[in-house]
Amino acid sequence: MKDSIIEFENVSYTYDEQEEKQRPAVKGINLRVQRGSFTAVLGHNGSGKSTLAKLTNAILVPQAGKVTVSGMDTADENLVYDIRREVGMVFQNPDNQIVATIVEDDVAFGPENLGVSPAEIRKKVDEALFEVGMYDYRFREPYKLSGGQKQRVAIAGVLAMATDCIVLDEPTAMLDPKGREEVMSTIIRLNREKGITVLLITHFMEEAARADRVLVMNEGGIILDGTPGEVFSKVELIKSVGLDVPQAAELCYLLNKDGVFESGTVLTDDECVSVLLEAAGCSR
Amino acid sequence: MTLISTRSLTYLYGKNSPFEIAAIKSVDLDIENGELVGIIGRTGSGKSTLVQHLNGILKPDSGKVFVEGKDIWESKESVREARFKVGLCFQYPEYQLFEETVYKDIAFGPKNMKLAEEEVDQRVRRAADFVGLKRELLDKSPFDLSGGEKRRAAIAGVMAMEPKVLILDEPTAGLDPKGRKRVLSLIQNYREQTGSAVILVSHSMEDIAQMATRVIVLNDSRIAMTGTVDDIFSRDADLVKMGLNVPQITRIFSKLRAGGMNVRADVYTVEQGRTELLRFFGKEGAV
Repeated sequence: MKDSIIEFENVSYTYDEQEEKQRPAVKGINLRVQRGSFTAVLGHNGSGKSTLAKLTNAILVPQAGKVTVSGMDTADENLVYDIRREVGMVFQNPDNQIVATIVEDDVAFGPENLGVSPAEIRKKVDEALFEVGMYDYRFREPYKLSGGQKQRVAIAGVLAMATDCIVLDEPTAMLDPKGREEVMSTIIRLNREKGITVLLITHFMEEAARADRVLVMNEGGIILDGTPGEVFSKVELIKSVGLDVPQAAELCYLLNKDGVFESGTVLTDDECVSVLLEAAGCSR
Repeated sequence: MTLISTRSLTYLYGKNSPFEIAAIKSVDLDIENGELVGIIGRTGSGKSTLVQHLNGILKPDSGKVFVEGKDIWESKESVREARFKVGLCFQYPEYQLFEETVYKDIAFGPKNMKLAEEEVDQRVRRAADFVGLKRELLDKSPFDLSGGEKRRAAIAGVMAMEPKVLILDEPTAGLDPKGRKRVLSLIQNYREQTGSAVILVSHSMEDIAQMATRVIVLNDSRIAMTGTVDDIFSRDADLVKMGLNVPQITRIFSKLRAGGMNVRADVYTVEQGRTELLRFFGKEGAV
């Protein structure tokens, strides 16, 4: 079995525990995230996705059960810095996570706090900016960047800490189509080429379709776990928990149901196009 | 009837400094009664700046804004009037809920309009019903609502002013698919029931293609294109250059055409796609 970087053992978490009739935000979660994998997490607003994300690097600590990062228990306060060096977070709003007035200073913020030597910081910052395609912008002022560029700077900030795993909580929710694609292709490349583990929380089904594994959360639990093909074949179940499937998948699902043709689960534009061309006898 | 017009509207950042840059430049725009105008453009193209001029939140550096033919900057009264006639719901409006109760928050706008208490009460309840907020939530603190409920409460606050033009800046950003559909259908219903014009700013090409009667594309602070959904989304190469795109389903259909299938190009929703393919495969009777 492959080595897992993050492990959840029967984890539950409730906000404001004292308050009556509070239901847990996540409950009884068991999960192993494999090193080098790309996992997408789907779920409606309030299903527990962001809580799950915050439990991965000790922003929240479970009230029941145990979360470990490379074997380190997140409940052990002495390990918090080591854990955060291993698992970095990128949030939804790019403007809330930029701290410096120059791009490269912002990226240096993390390693500076870790007490890395200046020469080493220089190297890490340059490498990180290069990785996300923002090296040419290193002397720019962050507020003048587009949303997609700001998010890539935030990702560079995490990379500069030599993180093995990036957890992104709806990083594209505020971006335009181009910005969304910039962020998606950046994280896919980091995953494929650098072996960085990615945990992506998203409301965009087409983004989830690009992961190796998709988790669907509902009412604090994981109700589906599989490859995108497996998960998006459960169209009715997914819709019943307030989600959707990519448009390509939905179109083929409907036409299958209408008896026009039979196909397996289709995820991408290109798969959908080849299935349809074949059914029409126009195969390429 | 023309509800809003702008003429040569220009707004500058860092005016008279070496960094002066136009956020919007020479924008001429007319919004007609009953329209649903979609505004698209990459981040920084000037969308939010433009809509904030339409009810006098921002004052143009040059050019004019007319609401029902009246220059809104003519006098204090005319700006005030414009703010009631043109309701603007900002991005992430739930962060702007501030009153002790949901009721008071929704009532804030109508109260400012100096309406009689009874009228305010009716409007608050009507707007809450309209967006599907249960009556018992009205006495709660806005902070006790879920994300989707907060968003709808904020929208209700603008609807309660019963504006002639309702402007929503990214009303579905950050919502799950079900929440998105719900917000879009309540916008559609509001327009149908009140006859108000709606301006929808969005990064979702799917939402715009499905909803808009007219689309305006902003690029580099100017209006780059305006036209029907067909006019705009048939120019996919131009859109991509501007950092935009066409809906996923439209992309699929253009690839099918390129592959030799004789299907329509003007397909913008999954339902339209299904209907068209049933026709193509000769299965119209199947549904």
